[in-house]
Amino acid sequence: MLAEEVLVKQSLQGDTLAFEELILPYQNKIYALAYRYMGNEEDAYDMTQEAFLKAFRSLRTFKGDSSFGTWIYRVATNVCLDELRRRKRRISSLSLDEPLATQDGDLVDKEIADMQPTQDIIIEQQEFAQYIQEMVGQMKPDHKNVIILRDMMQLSYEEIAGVLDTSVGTVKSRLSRARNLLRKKLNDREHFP
Amino acid sequence: MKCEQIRELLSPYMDQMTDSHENNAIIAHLAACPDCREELKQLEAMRDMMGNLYTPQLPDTFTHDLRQRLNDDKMIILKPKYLKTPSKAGWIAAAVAVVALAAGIFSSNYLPVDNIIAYHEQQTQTTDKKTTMSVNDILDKIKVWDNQDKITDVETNEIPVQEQAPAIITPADSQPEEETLPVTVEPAPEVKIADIYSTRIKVDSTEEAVDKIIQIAQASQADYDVNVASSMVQALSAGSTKMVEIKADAEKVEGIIEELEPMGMIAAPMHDETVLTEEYARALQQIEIINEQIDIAKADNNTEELQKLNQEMNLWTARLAVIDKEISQATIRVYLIEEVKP
Repeated sequence: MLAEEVLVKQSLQGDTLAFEELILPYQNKIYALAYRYMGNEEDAYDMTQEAFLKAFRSLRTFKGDSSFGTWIYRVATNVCLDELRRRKRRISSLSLDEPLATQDGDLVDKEIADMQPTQDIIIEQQEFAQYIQEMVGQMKPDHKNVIILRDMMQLSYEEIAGVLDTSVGTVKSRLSRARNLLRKKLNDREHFP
Repeated sequence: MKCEQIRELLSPYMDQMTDSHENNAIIAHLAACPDCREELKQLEAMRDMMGNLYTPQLPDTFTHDLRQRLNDDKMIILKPKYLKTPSKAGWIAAAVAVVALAAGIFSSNYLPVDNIIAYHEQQTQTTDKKTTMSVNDILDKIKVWDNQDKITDVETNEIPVQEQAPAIITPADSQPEEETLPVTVEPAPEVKIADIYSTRIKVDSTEEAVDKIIQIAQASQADYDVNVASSMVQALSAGSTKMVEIKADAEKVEGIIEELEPMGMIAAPMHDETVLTEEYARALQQIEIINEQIDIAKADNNTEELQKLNQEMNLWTARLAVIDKEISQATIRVYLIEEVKP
């Protein structure tokens, strides 16, 4: 990753164009990550911007002991978690955009309206998607992180351990617990065929 | 192995993260246990579904938006030093004026950005609390002052400030590319401070009040400017709001404030000091750097670059002029709020 090293160095000197090039391979992934955390596109967009901005500002702290990708994921994860925490503390009415706030029905309708004409199976998937998003949204950060990073972003156990600054063993056990929790909830709702 | 033990392993098993000993045990157990098989099926279904969730496409505006924010981030923003409470007892403090002046930096490849960032970092490290202003507010402010001062130097290449305070910083002539250490900035011998006072007056008619204030300003040979108040103040007040900004020599300030009082002042003015020394020094530094580059561009006969550099130069000299103006006089901001009749 010699090219990446050079870009990091240039970015540290304030070269914003170099920074743009540096983060280019990660943009879409981070957006997808943010979408999983925040549940809607607008927030995901904002969080993605925030994440890269934060990365630029704190680039000094990137020591190179992990890969740049891992580091970026870590920054983005923290940015999302911080924002979610902040919102939880706020005593305000949740917008319709936040999946937690609404009835399943509202969300499903919105999704269906956005997508093309569907068949039953796709509707079923959508319902599932919404439900998963909700359930994951309600999880504690530790469980939320591993589910999103593994099952949705498909990072390896090692990568996840790097992002969360923990051990593979911890990732294993957290993932196991998180998945089982989810599975039980799905069973309760009779979502399994 | 028993079901409970197996079930704990199903998750890593699914991801091929179990060792061969565990694998053997799991496979053997699954062959004989339909419940655990079912559980594994469910886990796999769940995983597959989660791996296929809808993900939106990153909008095209992303790069542009990010670039904007990255460049905004390189703006150096003044930190207002906080407020001296007025000596007059019994008054209640009211709205506070927000002061911002910025030395902007172009996101140009021609400027030595390593300096800029290093300087910015130095600032970040030395201050605990920073107040950041919206960039637009800052630029608006500069626009206001630009118009007021009718800076004609904008047209030419002349730098009006060469006779001013001595150049404090000499950027190193040879800047090694790799250098990320902060530039040593020697503090200016003369501290530059801009005084800003702000107050609110409740009036029956903003029109009349504005006229009155203009009279007061003129009597003290002070400059004035009538603005519609910023949206922040608008939000705070129900009726229409106007703001008059008076620029006067420091000695005249007290007299002017005395004259404003009978108009219905809500509070004794808040006094805000802004230390502009660093900004002043920065502007000087930038001008020097741009000059060097102009020389190079002239030698190369690079007209395109010359044009860009001239533009940058104009902006910096304008900013320097703005800072000068701020320093030499005190500003009194009078927010006029019309009483809302029930």
